[in-house]
Amino acid sequence: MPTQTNITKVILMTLVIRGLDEKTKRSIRAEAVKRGLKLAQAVKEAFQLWQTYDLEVSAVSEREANNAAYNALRQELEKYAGKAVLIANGTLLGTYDDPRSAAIDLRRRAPRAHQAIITVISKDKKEELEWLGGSLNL
Amino acid sequence: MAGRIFESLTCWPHKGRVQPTIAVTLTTIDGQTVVNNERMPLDTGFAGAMLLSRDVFTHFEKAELPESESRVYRTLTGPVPMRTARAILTLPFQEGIEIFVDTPRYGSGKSLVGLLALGKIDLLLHGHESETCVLRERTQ
Repeated sequence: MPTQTNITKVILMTLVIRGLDEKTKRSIRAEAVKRGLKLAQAVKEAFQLWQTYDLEVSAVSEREANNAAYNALRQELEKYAGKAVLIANGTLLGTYDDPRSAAIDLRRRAPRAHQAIITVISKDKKEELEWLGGSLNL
Repeated sequence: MAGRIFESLTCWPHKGRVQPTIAVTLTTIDGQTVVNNERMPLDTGFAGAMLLSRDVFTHFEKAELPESESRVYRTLTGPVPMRTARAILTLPFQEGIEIFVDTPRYGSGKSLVGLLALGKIDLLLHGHESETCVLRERTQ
C-alpha cells in the first residue's frame, strides 16, 4: 500500500495535457531533442522563460509589447480577414466590424492604455510611398 | 475642359508669404478633436494624407498600425520609416474622412497636408496674392 507521500509524488510527476494538438506536441518534442532535454525539462525551461518574459514586459514600452503580441498572433489573426483587431497591454482584446468600434471599446477595456494597435486584417498592409525632398529637414 | 468657372469659398494667407496652408480639423477615430480648424502647410511632394509632428501624433497612438504595416516613404535621402495611425480628417466644406496619419519613427517630424488629402478638394494656389483658396465649380 503506498503512503500518502508516495501518492502525492506520483500525481506531481504525471501531467496529462488534454486537447494539445498533434502538431504542437511534435514540435515540443522536437525542440526538446534539439536542445538535448527530456520533455519535462523542456517544459520547465519554457515555463521559466515565460515567467521571465512577463517580468520583462512591464519594463518594455507598451508599443513594443503590443507589436510583439501582434507578431506572435499574426498567422492566427488571418482567420479574421476584414475585421478590425484591437491589441493593448500586450494582449488581443477583441475583433470588431470596424476600427471605430475597436477604439470605443478600448476606452472601456483598457482605459489607462497609452498606445494600442488597431488594424484591419488583410486590408491594412505596409505601403511604400513617395516623399519628394521633404524629409531633408525632419 | 477649357472655360470652366470656379468660385473661391474661402482663402488662407501663405505662411511667411511663401508656404501655402489650409485649415484642417483632425479627430481621433473615436471622436476626440485634436486639431480644430488649424492652418497647416501643403506639401504636394508628400504622397500620404498627413504628416504630423510627434507631439500631435501622440493623440492618435491608440489607433496605431503595427510597425510591420506602418508606412515607409522613399525620399532623396533614403527610406524614412513611419509610425502610422488612423484619424478622421475634415477639410473645409467636406465631410470627415478616415485617413492614415504618419510621423517619422525617428525624429520629431512636422505637420503638413499631403497629396492624398489634397486630392479630395479643389484648390487654387493664388501666388500673386500669397493665398490658398478652396474652390467650387459653378454649374453655369
